[in-house]
Amino acid sequence: MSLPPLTLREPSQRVSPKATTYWRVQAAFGAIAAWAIAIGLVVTVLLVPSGWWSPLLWLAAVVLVVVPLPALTVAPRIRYDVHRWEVTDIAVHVRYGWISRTDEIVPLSRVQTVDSAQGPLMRVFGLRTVKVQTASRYGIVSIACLDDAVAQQVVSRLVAITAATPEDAT
Amino acid sequence: MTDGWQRLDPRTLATQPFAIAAKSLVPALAGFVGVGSAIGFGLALPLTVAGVVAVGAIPWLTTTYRITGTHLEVRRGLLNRTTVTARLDRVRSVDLEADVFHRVLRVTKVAVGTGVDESRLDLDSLDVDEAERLRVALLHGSPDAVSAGASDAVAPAPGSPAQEIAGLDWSWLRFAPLNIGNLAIALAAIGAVASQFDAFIDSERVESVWDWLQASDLPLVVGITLVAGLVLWVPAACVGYAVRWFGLRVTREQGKEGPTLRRVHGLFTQRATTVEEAKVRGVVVRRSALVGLAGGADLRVLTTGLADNEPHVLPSSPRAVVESVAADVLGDAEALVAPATPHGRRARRRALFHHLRQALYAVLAAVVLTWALGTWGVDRPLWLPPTVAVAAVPVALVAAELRYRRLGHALTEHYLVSCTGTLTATRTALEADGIVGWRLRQSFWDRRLGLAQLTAATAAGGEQVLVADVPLGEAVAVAAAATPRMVEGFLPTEDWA
Repeated sequence: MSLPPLTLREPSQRVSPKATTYWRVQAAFGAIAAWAIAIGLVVTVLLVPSGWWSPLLWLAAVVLVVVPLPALTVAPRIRYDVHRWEVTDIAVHVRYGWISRTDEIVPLSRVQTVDSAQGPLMRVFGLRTVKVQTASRYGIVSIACLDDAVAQQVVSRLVAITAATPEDAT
Repeated sequence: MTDGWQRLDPRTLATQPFAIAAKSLVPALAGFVGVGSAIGFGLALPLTVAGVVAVGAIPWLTTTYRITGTHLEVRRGLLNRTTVTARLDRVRSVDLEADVFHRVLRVTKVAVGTGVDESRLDLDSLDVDEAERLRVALLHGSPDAVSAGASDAVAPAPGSPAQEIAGLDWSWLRFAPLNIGNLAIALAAIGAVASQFDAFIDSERVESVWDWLQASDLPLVVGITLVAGLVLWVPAACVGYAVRWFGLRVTREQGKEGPTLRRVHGLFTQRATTVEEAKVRGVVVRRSALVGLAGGADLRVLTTGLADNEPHVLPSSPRAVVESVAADVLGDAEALVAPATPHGRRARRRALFHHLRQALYAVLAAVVLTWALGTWGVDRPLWLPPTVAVAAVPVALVAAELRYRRLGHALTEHYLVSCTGTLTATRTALEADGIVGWRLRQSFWDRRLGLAQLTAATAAGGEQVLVADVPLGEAVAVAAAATPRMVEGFLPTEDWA
């Protein structure tokens, strides 16, 4: 009994265009920390007498320098292209990821809570994340990096739809 | 109490100290010894006992509960008074548990679940008859029986009498020694106890044992150890199985909101768990390695509102019994026997790579060990890495084939079925109506192979059922077929034509 293969279509909405800059700035903080550690490692290697650990420390330093680079350059652009979301009267669908790819669908009739969150850096950019939770800890959908106004609209729309479905959501 | 508020049973005062003593034996002993050596043991003993009794009295003094027309309310807490409330029509499960102390005093712990995990109500403890009355009132809906007062007669369950679904058969004991997983737990426990006596193990003793081993016939010693281990393990496993599952009965009763499932078992600690059958969202049939070879399996149900949301309904027992009970619980025999769709050659390749990678790790470990032994001045066993390689590769090939053959999924009218396992074969059936979301994930390697990991989110059991390494198109098709309403809006229109 093999079903004919199907594909999910791309959700219709993009996240805020400001998200790419936000992701870059966020990555910059991580990169600064990683590079600081890398500099520390290099200084250590140069100061202490070399031993069998020296090549390992060099390797670690190189890894720390290289790893943040994609997140600063190409990753935000790819993420922006991939990240999509859509809310219908029946369900929420989000797609995200830049190396791995994830699709999440949650039916609104099973939604238990709808909330939105905004970290300090997100506030600077006027972005907001909407989070939809069900009775399962694996049935959680986050629509990341929406424009503040859009996020408020989505929350009130989701609350209106879920309030209209009286099931106990399990 | 006014307004129908009732206390826990006074016998709680006797059971609580034992529970506390059992739970905090080590700190209690440490405190006893510490205080005792300071002020003398004659004084410390009554002080310790008084302390334990006083702490044990707190729950009885501070916990009260009542049933109103619509709610069950429990108030508790010494400094932070909290009131937990559960709507009666949301009560989905009642769990009664009584260990030996409780049973001697004829009291039992009561845990009430509402299907939402955060709002479980625990009452430790109530009189056995009172607890039964509460259970009947909560699940069979005659709240007058409790709120009117404790002295009323036991309310009879409405509707038909309990219908027996399964009961323990002593011939099932033959599966008990085959649960090797339990052997590992037992060995870990023995190891933990033995490590308490490491003061007695010094290098002199180790050396004398080593010398004795060198002098004796090694294969003989290993053989005798194995036989002795077997002789000890078989009765221990049987006794453990018997103690845990003594008097197992699974029955169906008529509750106020539909049928309920009730499971009673236990020789010393007796447990009676009742769940609304509508909240049973699926089953897990597991054939662990040796039990499976001997034609056995065990059965769990996926449910909500219990402390353990994946409780055993049947311990290791014949597969035919497991399947008939599971079919009875699900109301769908198809979900247990429907042939699983395999995931194709790319999934087989994935399984092969997975196990060959593990074989590689084993060989690498052998190389490192050989090198390390050399640096410690022992003769390098150069034969070790090739031997490990020769042994590990065929094992990996067999394991990969087994893993691939056991991987699959199926859809029946109401259930999504996922089959997994290498040594242990697991078949999980989840009610499509219990699916509260989908996650379709592809890692970088998944994308290269065109495979996906499909997760069905649910409130029941482990809260997810995974269909692993399934071709992407097939994964979407499964999700769309299991929950058409949820997924159909996100399919391209030409695909859905």
